[in-house]
Amino acid sequence: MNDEATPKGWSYNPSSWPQRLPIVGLALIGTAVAAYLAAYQLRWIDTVWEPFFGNGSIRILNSKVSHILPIPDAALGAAGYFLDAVTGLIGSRDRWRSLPWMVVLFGIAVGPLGAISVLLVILQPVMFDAFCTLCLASAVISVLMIGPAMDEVLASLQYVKGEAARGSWWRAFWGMQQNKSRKGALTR
Amino acid sequence: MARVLGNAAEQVSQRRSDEMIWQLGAAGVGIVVMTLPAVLEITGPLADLDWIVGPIITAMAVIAAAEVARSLRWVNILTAIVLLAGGLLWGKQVSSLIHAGLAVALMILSVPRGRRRQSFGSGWRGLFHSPSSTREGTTS
Repeated sequence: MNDEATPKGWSYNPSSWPQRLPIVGLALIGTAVAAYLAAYQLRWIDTVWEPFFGNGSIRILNSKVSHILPIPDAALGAAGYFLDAVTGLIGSRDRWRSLPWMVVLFGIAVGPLGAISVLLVILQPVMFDAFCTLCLASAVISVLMIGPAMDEVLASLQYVKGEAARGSWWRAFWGMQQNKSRKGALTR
Repeated sequence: MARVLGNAAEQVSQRRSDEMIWQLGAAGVGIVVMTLPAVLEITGPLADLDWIVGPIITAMAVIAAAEVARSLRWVNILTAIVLLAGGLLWGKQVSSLIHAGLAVALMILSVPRGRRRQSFGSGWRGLFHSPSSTREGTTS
């Protein structure tokens, strides 16, 4: 528990692999689900799996909202999940201080993706009076990732703020002064 | 034997679920709210409200299940008030009663913090306070 990569004042290291890999796993499942839905929206496949809501998935996936952008929304979702996975993987087990910008990018990728998913879940019944099973599953996955991802973002923000008091937050944010700051990086 | 099992169960619950059990309950309330229009055959503004508030309740509860984000549970006090008000405003007898019941349950589930297991340095709050060297002259 008490390893050298644990942020000061923390009881665990939020950038350790046991903390990060489950989120990456969820992101990859999300990528697969969203890619499957996008394949239907792009007509690479003709049908979509829908065990509960009759023609709900078909109505949702062909709705105006889902085609509001040049590319179908599920394709965008798949890209978002993949970005989550990639930004979750990059960096060593002390990346909260060695690569803060990557952690923040990871947080930005995870947070809004979840928020958009919740918005889309709301729009399903309100605008189209239908539900789409796999769209709901995708939303659940994206919301599940948010909480576990936030601790690492907090550690990075604390680190950058601490560095700001003793020098350049800019250099700290881009991971350019880790040697100097190995010790006493965080304000308590 | 029973005592051994009891102790084991206690340990498991302390280790895994104790800290987030309230949020899991709140997430369940959100899912129930989402299904109310179908189950109670509600239409009109109250149905829209259920479909809007339900996913928000569940999302906030699921995020707040992470200890680092536990403070988000307070958002569900607000959603509970919206649920209560919507039920009173647009609900018929049974549906407004059910909305009120769910709202009260959600409020109760959203108050307890759960056991504090981890520490997070200065926390989120520390980001908005000046470091100790420059604390003088700031309000904190």
